[in-house]
Amino acid sequence: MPREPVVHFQRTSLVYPNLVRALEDVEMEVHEGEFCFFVGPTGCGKSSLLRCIYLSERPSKGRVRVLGRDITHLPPSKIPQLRRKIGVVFQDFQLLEYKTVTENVAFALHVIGAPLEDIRRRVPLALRMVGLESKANMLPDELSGGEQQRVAIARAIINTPPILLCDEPTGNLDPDTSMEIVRLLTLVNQRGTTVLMATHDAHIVNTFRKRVVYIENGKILWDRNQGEYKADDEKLRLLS
Amino acid sequence: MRNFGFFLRETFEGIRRHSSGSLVTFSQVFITLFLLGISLVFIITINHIVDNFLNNLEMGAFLSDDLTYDQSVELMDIVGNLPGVRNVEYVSKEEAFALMKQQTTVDISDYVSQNPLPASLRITVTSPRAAEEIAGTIALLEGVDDVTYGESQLQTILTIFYGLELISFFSVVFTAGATMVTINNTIRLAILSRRKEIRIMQLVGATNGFIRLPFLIEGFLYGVGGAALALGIIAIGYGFLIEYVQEHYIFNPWIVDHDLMMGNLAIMLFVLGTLIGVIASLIAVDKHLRDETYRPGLVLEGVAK
Repeated sequence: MPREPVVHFQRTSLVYPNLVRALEDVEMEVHEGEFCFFVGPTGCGKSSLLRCIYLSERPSKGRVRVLGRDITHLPPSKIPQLRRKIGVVFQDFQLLEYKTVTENVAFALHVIGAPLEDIRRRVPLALRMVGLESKANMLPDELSGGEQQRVAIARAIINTPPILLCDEPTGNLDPDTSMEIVRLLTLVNQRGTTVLMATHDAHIVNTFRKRVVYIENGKILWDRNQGEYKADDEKLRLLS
Repeated sequence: MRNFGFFLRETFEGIRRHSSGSLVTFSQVFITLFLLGISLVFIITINHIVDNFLNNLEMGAFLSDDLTYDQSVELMDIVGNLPGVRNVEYVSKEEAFALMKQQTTVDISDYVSQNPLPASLRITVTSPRAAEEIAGTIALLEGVDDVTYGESQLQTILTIFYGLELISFFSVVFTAGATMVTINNTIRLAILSRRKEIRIMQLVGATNGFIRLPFLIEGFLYGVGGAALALGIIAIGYGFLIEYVQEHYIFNPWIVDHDLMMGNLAIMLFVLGTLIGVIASLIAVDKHLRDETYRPGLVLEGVAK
């Protein structure tokens, strides 16, 4: 029997209160262990799609199933439990500037009530994985953009979530640093985490050759697995 | 709680990072609780005066001149056994005259040829509010000419005191309301300046209860801290006031014992400060959490249930 997808959009639409249609009739599955790029021009609905997964937005129509559970009408009191299973990384890092690297990463464990001994053990491991053990006591302002994004990734994966959502994580970074960040995300993916990444960087998509879902005006125009699309696809070229 | 140390650190960190705003709030909370404390001192004093006045209320039953001493003693027994009467004393004509002479600065013997005052019974009652009924019963007894207990003055004084008490009560309610609004506004500002932190907490799966707690502790600290400072200053001020009054006036029926007053005030200020601080914070943080947990999309027809 085939395993249930970790993320399943079932004819999902999202219309914002200002009547902007962010998603329209989206039908898509993401399976365990996949690395999936969501591409498309700015405002096409990539971020809205990710937000429906961690319920920062509620779909207007259709269903969203995450980790085998229909979350479309999940009561607000259950949302924290869902979010503990999903790591999220943003373009603007979302770090607390008055906390050190260690404190920023530990914050994610503190707020879910993890035991202190657990926090002390897991934070250095996460920092080692993102290559920041030597900068553990620095403040975010003392780090480069790429390093700040690594801190954000460490915080997102510290709780070993089955799903990692990355909303334009390289949007503020130079091309070389962007490649490093995606390489790190690939490493996270190889350890079993399903990674869903929104980007409009064609170079990244062409370099890493993973599954690509192209979205425009809230609709999925095409969805191709690695190797099935051409690097010089016109739509992708238009992105860069 | 496992992470209580974390909550406390977060709370103090938040207060420290917004120290100027926190200081303004603390000052406002202190001032409003100080005014609240003054109003409460006023209410406690009025209650004390009313109780004192009522407990010392004396009734005078004036006896007929033709009553013998034995008949007067018999009458004293009858009055003493009436329900609601605490104590009865006999005051002879001579004692009444001597007392009157004592209370006047001129020698009244120069103006009257014989003692005009009747013998009387001086009566204290257990329940001053039943004074009217007891006075009516005594007035009907044979040998009693008249009964007085300052009924018209009593009513006037009680009306004034209750009026003052009502005004103080409303000033307490008003001040408490103002304190609540102040704390609520500050916590809202604190929440706004910590939106990012709250957002991150929500993203990594913190429950609303967890997010609320540092703000509730902050509100509690404002309430309790403001109450403690207000109480300290009022205690010192009240101490000086008592000292001054006792030095300059011999008869001070309105003075409430310092420790008793401060004990009552401490309970009221701490309870009110805590409640106001915590409730105001709760309202502010809950409103934010309701708005920020998620944004519901516009529901379209045929939405899956």
